[in-house]
Amino acid sequence: MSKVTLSNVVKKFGEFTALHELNLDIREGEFLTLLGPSGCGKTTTLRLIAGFVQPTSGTIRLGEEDVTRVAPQHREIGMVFQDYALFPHMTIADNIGFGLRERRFPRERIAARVAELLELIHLPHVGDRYPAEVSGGQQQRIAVARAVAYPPRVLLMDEPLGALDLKLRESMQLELRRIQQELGITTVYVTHDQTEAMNMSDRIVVMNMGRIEQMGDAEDIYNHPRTRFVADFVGQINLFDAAIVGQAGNYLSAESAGHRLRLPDPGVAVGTKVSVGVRPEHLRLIASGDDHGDDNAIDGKLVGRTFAGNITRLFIDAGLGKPLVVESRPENAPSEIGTALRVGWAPDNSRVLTE
Amino acid sequence: MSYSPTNATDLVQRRNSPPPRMGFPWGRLFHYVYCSLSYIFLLAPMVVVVGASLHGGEFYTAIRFPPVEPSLRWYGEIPSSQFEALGLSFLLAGGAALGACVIGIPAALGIVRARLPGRTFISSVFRAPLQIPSIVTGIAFLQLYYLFGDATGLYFQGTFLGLYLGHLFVATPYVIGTVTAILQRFDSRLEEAALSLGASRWSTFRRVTLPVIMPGVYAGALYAFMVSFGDVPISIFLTAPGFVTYPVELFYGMENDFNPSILASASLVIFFCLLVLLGMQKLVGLDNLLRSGSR
Repeated sequence: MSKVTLSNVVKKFGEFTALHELNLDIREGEFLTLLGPSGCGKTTTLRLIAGFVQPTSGTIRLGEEDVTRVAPQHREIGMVFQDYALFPHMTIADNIGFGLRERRFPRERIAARVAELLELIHLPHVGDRYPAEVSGGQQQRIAVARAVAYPPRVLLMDEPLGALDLKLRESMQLELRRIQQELGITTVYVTHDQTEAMNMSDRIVVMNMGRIEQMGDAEDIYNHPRTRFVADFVGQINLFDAAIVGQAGNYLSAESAGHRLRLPDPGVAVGTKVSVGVRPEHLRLIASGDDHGDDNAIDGKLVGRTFAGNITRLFIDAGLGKPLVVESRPENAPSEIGTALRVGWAPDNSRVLTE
Repeated sequence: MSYSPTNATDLVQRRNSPPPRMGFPWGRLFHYVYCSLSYIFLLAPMVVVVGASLHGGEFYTAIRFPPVEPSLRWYGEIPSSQFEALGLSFLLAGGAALGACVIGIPAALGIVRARLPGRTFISSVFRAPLQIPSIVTGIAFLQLYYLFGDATGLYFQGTFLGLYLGHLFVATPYVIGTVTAILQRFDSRLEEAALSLGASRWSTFRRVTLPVIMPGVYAGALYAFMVSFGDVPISIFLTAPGFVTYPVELFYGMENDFNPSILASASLVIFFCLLVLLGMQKLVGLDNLLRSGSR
């Protein structure tokens, strides 16, 4: 296991630039997730580390060693693919022992290591079976065992849970995290699923259009998105445009579609056009005559509602472009479409975004 | 109810009437009759050949089916030249199948994987032998050998090598075809997985790629074998007296002095092939072959 360093890595496919000047330090033993929509460059980054594609320029280091021009079979990495890519003609034990056999370890040593790994993934009795004879979730764990059988310097996982159903995916997230922590292996994980990223990672790298948008732990990314893209991609958020019209103490006053708002000041000049983001769970319904103190309050009317069990989502049109999404307890949720409602939130729960 | 584009009641015809009762199963009857006729069509010639070979009565010039006074007497009268020809044919067909794999597997890999300009052109060149009538191929090879012989003094017609090259020419496209088909469905991540686990390129090919494409190789080799084994039009030009393949030997036999010993020897070959197929199924196991291709 070791750290991974990408310096000024550029990858072009013909005219198309998949990665622009990427700089990334992955710490030793860390579980780092590359998160982004399809085409953002996350899989390309992973394949560059694996050595399946070569960067147009820049360097890739595993530990202290420059591996930019080293073929994948000499990089000592472990890779887990979305569809597992288990060898269909080999037993599960032979699959797991493949890397060790290729490195000419004695038969008994390989058998012992395979048994140990089958134990680790809680599948001690499947060694003699073929991949097609076990379930998707089991194939997934076998693929992880195969990737780590010869201790890799870094474990790379490319949407490994994408093919599983929701329930299984959630339990596999915990399982993968447990295996990773037990082995203490540096791991780079690629996904487009933000919940998955938040559940598993030490750090998340949000990518978009071949660039890193933001790096940080899950709370940091969720609570302090730096750009509109991150705010929108990670979790649900109400985003609308506003213009800064003045300053009041530590707060800014802003105007949006005729509404007066108080916003925290991230250091923006008066007159700037900004985007304001508020998470649905921070919005609440308030009575129309209420004194709402320093809170923001916006009047609108109910245009739709969806029931999600523990909460009801209300869609409220306040002239801000898209309707505001408010999460409400089901018993408090008004049901009549067209009802006039007032929505409020604390100014500190607004994110002011300029990028 | 008035028409509305959302409920489209005029499209729903039968929902309110009782579902039709099951009547006489015409469909199933048709299915059985159709299948039976197909089997009869495929098997009847073999039944006639084997049956007529058992004819033990008076013999004139035409085959007799059903046989009169069944006996095995014609089996004793198969000329030894036919067994020699059979030996040559097996050797030739086995060699052609093997050679077709040696050429066909790398060719298929190139056609599917390489980013060559004119890839479709190359693959149609490799398919060309299938589109040339065999008799033309035979003449072309003969002409080639004459020209080559006149220029160098080395004449290939009537030699094993000369015959072998002709057979290899028509057999190879079958292996290319089946292996190309299976490679197009091949999941290249399997190879990436092997590389990431430290396997060399060669080891990846030998331990991952080859086993996974093996069903295609087997199928192609079997076709190659059969095409070579059954060939008359090419072999007839490239063989020489005393050096003949089995089908050509039968062909001459039919032409010159036809008698049921030809049918007897053909029957032996039919049974031998059946035995080989059964044996292969027992030995290799059909499920094993299928598993290596399943994904």
